[in-house]
Amino acid sequence: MNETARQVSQEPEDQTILDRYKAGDNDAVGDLADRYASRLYNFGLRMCGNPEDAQDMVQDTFLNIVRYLKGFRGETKLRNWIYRLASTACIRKRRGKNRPERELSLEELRPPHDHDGPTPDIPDWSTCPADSLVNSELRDHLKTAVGRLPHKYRLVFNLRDLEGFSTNEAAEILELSPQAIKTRLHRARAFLRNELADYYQEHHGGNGGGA
Amino acid sequence: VSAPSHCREYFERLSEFLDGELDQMTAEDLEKHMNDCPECRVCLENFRQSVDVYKCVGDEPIPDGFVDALKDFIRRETK
Repeated sequence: MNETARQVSQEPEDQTILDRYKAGDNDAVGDLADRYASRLYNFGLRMCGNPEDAQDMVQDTFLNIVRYLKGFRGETKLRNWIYRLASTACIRKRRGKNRPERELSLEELRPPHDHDGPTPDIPDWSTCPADSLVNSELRDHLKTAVGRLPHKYRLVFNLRDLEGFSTNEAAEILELSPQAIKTRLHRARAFLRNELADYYQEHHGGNGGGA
Repeated sequence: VSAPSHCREYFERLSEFLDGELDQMTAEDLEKHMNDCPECRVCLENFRQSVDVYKCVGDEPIPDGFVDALKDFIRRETK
């Protein structure tokens, strides 16, 4: 089989770094750190919950980049490959803590539904927490809510909604089926929706969207 | 209050609907139900708002000196 036929097109910045790496420039991996460290650190922070573990996770990821970049054949995007290493590092770290994984059931997460009662108002949850310092309390609440997601749902939620990977890319990164990604993402979002409803119920009473 | 079974089925497809991952017929069927069922319409709207709000929660700054320390580590491991 023709090896080049299976290659995918890389983001231009990644392609430049890969070309330099192949030409023997050892600083190329350092440039990957400039490009990815901040994103991976925040990914790790959301997955591990504290800065120390997030930094360890990023270092483990780069150790594996150093070890295995030579074998990278461009069959996937470099970014996806790096996130596969990072996700594996997060999963390994989680296993080390040996905590049982909680399953989320849609049955528990579905908001109450009362066809016989008055038609509920659509609440306004459109405030963007990044807009203003005034919203720092909301932002903290959202971050805590993400941290409360069971690990396997948090991983999918992070990749899909916060890192912006498509369903198929997340499936490739985690070596799961696209359907498994969709199922976990929906449960994660339903869990987080209820957390947000609780926040509004607590702070703006009666604007909890039926939850 | 428990939702009728057809409302439960639509709830299960909300994420795929918002992500544009449903086939056209299923998406149209869901939209029609949302127009007919105020409870599900509210559910869809606050689900949509929740997804959008979490997406803009923002990043934390990376600790001072971390990238330099990481690059030193990479240099040592590359030798």
